[in-house]
Amino acid sequence: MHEISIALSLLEGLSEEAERRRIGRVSAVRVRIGVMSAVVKDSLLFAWDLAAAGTIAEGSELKIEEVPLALWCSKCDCERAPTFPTSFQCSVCGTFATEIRHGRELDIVAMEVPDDIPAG
Amino acid sequence: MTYRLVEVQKSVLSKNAGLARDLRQRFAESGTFVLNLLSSPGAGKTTLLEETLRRLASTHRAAALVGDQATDNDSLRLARAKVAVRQITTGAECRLDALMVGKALDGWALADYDLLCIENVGNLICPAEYDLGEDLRVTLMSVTEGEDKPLKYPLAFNTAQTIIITKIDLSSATGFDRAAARANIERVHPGVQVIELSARSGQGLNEWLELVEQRVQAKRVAAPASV
Repeated sequence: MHEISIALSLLEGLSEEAERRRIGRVSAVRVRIGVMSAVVKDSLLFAWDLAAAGTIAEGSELKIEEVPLALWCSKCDCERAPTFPTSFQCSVCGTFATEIRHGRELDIVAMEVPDDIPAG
Repeated sequence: MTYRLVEVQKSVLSKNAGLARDLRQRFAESGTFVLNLLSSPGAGKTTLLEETLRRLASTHRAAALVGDQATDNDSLRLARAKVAVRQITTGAECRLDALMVGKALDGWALADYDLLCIENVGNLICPAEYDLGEDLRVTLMSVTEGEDKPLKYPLAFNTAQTIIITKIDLSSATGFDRAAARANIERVHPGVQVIELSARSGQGLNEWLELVEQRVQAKRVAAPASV
C-alpha cells in the first residue's frame, strides 16, 4: 500500500506545474495509470482526498484513465494485447513477449482549472 | 462549473527517475557496483547478503543499505559480516526510493566502496517501480513460496536482470517443482539468468559470487581513474 506516497508525488508534480503557470486552484486532475503499475485505483482515490486537503487541489476529483498492457510481439512484429490483462503472452500467436509498450504509465495528463467568472 | 483544461504530461515517478539518474552517475564516478535485492518477506535476502558479504568482505570494500519498515534486525545481522551497514527505516513506506538511498549515503565516501548491496523492503509490488540507480536488480523467490510467484508479480521478475531461487536445499521437502518455476520465470522474462541457490548449504553460492565479483571488477575498470 504505497498509494499515499504516490498521491503525494502526484500532488507535488501537480503543484509544480500549477505554480509555473500561476494556477491557484484545480478542480480535477486527469491521470493515466497502467495496469502493470503497482497502483490500486480505489486506494489511490482514497489517498488523493487525504493528500489534496489544504492544497490547491483540495476537494478535486481524480480522474483515472486505466491503460491496458500492450506488448511488442517479436513474432507478429507489431504491438499486441496480452492473453489476459497482466500476462506477457501475445494474444494472437502465443509468443511470450516481454517488451512492455504500454501499461506502466503513472502520468499526470492534465488539470482542470475552474473559470473564475461563471460562463453565460 | 466551467473549466479550462491545462495539459501537463508528466510522469509521477519523474522525480525518482531524476534522482536515480544522479545516483547512477555518482556510482559510475566512484566505480561502486550496486545491487538492489527484491523479494517478498522471508525469501532470504538478508541470509544471502550475510553470506555474500561474509565471503567477499576480505577481498572487497563492501557496504550495505537495508530497508525495513520498522526494525533494524537485518542491519544488525549484516553488521556481523564486518562491513559498513546503514539502516533505512521506511515507516509507512513499503519500498525504498532514490531519495531515501541518496540520504542514507550522506557522509559516505563512495570511492571507498566497490560494492554496495541494497536490501529493499520485503515486498514484490512497490519496489519494482522504483529505480535506485543500481547496476543489477536481483529478484529472489524461495522454494517455499510456490512456483507461480513470477506470474503473480510479473513486474518484479520482468525488471530484474538476475533471478535467484533461494532455499533450494528445501526443495524436495516442500515439493517444489523446479521446472514449473523456471517455466513461469521464462514466461515473464525470457532468457533471464536464473541461479538456484542455498545460502545455508552453499549450493549455487559460487555461481552467484562469481557473478558479483565479475561485475564489481568490470565496474571498477570502467570508472574514471581516481585522482
